[in-house]
Amino acid sequence: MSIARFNSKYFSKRQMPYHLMMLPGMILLFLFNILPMFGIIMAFQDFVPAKGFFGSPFVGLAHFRYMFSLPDSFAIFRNTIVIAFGKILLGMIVPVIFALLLNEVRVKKFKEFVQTIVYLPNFLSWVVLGSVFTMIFSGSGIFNNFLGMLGLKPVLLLASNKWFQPLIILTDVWKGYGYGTIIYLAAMTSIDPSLYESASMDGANRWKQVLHITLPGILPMIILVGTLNLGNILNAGFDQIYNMYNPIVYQTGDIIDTYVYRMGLQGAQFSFGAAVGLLKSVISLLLIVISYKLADKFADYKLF
Amino acid sequence: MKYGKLLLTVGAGLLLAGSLAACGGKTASSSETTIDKKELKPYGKYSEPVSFTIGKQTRPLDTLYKGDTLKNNPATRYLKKETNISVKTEWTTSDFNQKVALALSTGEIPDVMSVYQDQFNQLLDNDLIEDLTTVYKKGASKRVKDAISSYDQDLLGISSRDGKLMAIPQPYPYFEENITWIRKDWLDKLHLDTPETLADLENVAKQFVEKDASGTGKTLGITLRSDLNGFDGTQMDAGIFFNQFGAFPRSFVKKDGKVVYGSIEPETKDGLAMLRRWYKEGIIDKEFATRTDDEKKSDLADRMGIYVGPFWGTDMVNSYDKDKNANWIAVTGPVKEKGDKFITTRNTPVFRYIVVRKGFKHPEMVMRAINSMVDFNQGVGSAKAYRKAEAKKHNQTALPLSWALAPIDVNIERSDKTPLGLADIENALKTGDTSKLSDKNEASFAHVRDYPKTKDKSALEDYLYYHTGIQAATNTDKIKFVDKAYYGDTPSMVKMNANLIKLENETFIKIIMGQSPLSDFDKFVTQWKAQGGDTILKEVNAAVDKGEVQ
Amino acid sequence: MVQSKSFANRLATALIVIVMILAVALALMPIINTIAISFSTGTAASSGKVAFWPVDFTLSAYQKILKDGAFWSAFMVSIARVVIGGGLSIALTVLMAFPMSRKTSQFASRNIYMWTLVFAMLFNGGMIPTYMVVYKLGLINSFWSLVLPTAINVMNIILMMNFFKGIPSSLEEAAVIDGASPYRILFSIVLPISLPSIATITLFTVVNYWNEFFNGLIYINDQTKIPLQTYLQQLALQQQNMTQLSKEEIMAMSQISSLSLNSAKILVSMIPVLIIYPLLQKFLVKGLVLGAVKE
Repeated sequence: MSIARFNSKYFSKRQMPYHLMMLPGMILLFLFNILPMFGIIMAFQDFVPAKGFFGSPFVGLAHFRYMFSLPDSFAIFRNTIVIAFGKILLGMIVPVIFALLLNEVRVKKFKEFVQTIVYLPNFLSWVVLGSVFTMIFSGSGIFNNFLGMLGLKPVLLLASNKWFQPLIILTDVWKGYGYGTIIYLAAMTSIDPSLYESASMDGANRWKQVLHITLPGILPMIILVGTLNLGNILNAGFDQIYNMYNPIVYQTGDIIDTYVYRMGLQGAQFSFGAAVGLLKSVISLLLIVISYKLADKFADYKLF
Repeated sequence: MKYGKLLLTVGAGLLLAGSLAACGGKTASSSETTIDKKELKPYGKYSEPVSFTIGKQTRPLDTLYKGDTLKNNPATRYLKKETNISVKTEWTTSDFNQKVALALSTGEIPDVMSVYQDQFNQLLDNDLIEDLTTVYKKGASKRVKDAISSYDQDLLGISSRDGKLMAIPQPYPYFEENITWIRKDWLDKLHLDTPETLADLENVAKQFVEKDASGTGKTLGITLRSDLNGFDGTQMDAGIFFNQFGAFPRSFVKKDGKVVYGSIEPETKDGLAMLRRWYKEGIIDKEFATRTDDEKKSDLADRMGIYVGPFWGTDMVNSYDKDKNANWIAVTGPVKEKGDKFITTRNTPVFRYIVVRKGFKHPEMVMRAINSMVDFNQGVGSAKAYRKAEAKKHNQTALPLSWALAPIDVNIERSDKTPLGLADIENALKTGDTSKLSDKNEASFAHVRDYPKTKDKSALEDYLYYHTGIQAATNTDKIKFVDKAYYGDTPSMVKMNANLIKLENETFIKIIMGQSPLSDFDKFVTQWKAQGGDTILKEVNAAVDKGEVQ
Repeated sequence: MVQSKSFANRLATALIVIVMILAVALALMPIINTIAISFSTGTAASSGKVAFWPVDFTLSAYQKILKDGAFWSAFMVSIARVVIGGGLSIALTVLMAFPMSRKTSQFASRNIYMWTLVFAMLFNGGMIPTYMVVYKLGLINSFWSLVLPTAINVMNIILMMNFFKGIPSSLEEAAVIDGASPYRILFSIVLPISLPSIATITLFTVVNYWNEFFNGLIYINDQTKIPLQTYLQQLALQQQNMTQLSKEEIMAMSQISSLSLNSAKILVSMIPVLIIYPLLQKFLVKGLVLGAVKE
């Protein structure tokens, strides 16, 4: 393609305003997202800051090999996937059920009130919630006091390798299900009301209506959310775990992101941290592409 | 079309500039270090105002007078008056490791930092710090040199690489090891003797719990750190219970001429067996692994009567508010059998390293500032009168300012500063002559003298130190100090130790809490060796053979 | 027959209402517990006596906060960050979402930009290289390091773009025939009817900036310049990181850390979010749904 044709196709006068609108944002994107990607080189080096990217020796895949030789690597990948999968699964089921129930509430004010309140935790940071949950689940927190009232032995969920993962998943779902509820409720409003009318004339009770009309009505939405979440299978939530874990539960709570943080930033093992991070990014990218294709195929939905 | 070219040019320009930027690294200023020979002396005032920058750990301390700030307080004013040096803070952070790692990644560090072992190694590996050999030799004050040479270990050797002194060491004075604190009033109430041996202590703890010595219905026996072994001298560290078996978990010690890792030695299993039994019998706090330090400390106020900590670890003072009869004493123990000595390991000789950026023009200035601050913090030399005058402005005997808030957070003291201080105060108590005391010791002296009469809480801590704590901690006749063979980090440790320590903690805690059988210890030993422990031991032995300690 | 049906119906309704009330309680419980602790004495809190009502009621935590300079300076940094960063981010989001909502026939490079954005969202160079760039730009310890690196949020752009796409093209057609420039179309036709989605994006952006703690942790050196969430995070961290403290510090720590004080700080930090959320909430459903669900 000649330069002139290239220009007239992509940079015609008519299109210039669009380019200019994109420009400020693209500059920031380039600086803070694209440029750092060159730093990935260090994953293949023994990066010594004083020597820079040109002076540091290349070591090929040594850091990746070391990673796979560590017995912890398996646990960390497993933790990440278990936690992320739990979050995705419960994060889909809970809001669907909750939205179905809430949809049955006829008093509009009450419905809106519930919707507003359950979405509220979504706006609190994990720094704040981390501190709050640490208090609640500590030995003298209300959770254990409650267990004591029931005559049960105290359980320290945040310091138990048995309970830490479920707790992380549940608190995340607790924080986030309000969002899903809103989405599904909205999808329900677009269901043709005449379907319900004819169903109730046929004598279908509420439960049957939910099962045969509402649920199928929001099914495309459910499938869509599910497929789009596939790309998150390696995102178990750095902020949450960073603010809630402690050395006792590294065994079950350490995920790729927290591990990279501790190795790369606290241990100054820049190259090793970069290698683990790179592996994660590549897998995530693949999963996103797959989920994009799946969403396109099954839900006929193009995200972008 | 014009636009298009413009955009392409801008884009390409950005790309180029950016790639160059990202490749950086070589930013260390090209200036060469030139020691000012004229100024290479311990004391004196620069004719012109001079300054350097520093990176510091944020201090959760609040000992400044009203109106004083971190930038302007008695310490900064003293430094300025004596030397004409001012220190500019480049950054402060509560996550020190992280900030140093970030600074490392850009290769640009502050002129001065006081760093821990990990960072010292990293800075050395990156060739970012300056040789201080000459500066120390000619520029360190007599007091600093005297303090540094008062240690059994070769602190200068530890701080050197290839014969060059790369940092000014900040040592950890002796006698800050853990001892046992016990509530004497509870012992008396239950007609128990002061425990000496592990068996005595076990019995005391059992009686405390069974007979509910606290009267709260929820008396606790002994609590431990959630990670069992922290670093030396941490409160509630389980170390002393192992030590009496000749077990030294988390330490490299000499055994039969070779360096071994204490955690995998059979003696450690004995210690674990005892703690496991104690836990089962309710002697050890069932929730030690999960309670926060805060909670444990608040337990000390009313429901716990036994406490492992250094002489200065007086978190139990709140119990004096709750119970007028509260009375804690410090014990040099527990020992294994009657007549045994109390075995304890010595703290890391070098606690922190004061390093100077490579290429910084006047390292002699830093040394002089250190000299001056050491004098100031100890309240000696010209600083003695200065401190007293500053304190007087606020109607106090002693300046409360902590060394950690001084412009350079440095404190270099003699190894025996604790017994020396005790002797000074005991002497003053006898003779009434306070002229020899520093302002701090003078305040402590007044506290110790007055507490029995006034029962004033502000005097309580000093009273406990000098009345019972230090006596127990410095009772050298009854203590057997074990020096560790190696305190440092070998290359493999840097890489693998985090994992190994994790494995160790999990295994030990589960064994103690009865979640895994004691035999899991043997499994742990095999795992530890296979997962890099063997390599580490080899490296440590090689390092020790070369004469390295840290 | 009819009666039993309505009974079942009523029972179902009652059950549903109970579930809803439980859900509301569950959502509010942690906040109420924190409120109760913040008004209790530190000892009552750490001995576990406080549930949903203060024990040994005291205002001392709040009195301490009022005098706490570090807390308020962090608070003000966060406010500035939300106002400046939020404004910038929203403006850039709108500016980018509009061209992206055009068809490729109108804007040939649209897909190239789109994939660049998506790629940048999914793939990153990691913390250290990003830090190096921020450092090279001279932004370390600058307020702008809290604003610029997170100003572009691709998810928000996509949300906004989908909303714009949903606007019936008939609205624009008249203007296009009149020869209106894209700027005019954006500002005088598209934006005025996009209030719900702008409100939604505003809520998200404000909350993101308010809640973000990590950049404050790594980019800011001066404690007087850190944002509030970083301040709170360090507060929590200080209690764990005892290994690196000296004797004096450990002793000082045991005097200052107090559950009720920290709870009060946490609570005060929530206030802006609790104010802005109800204000923008009514737009939320519309904005969110139109952005996510295309016709």
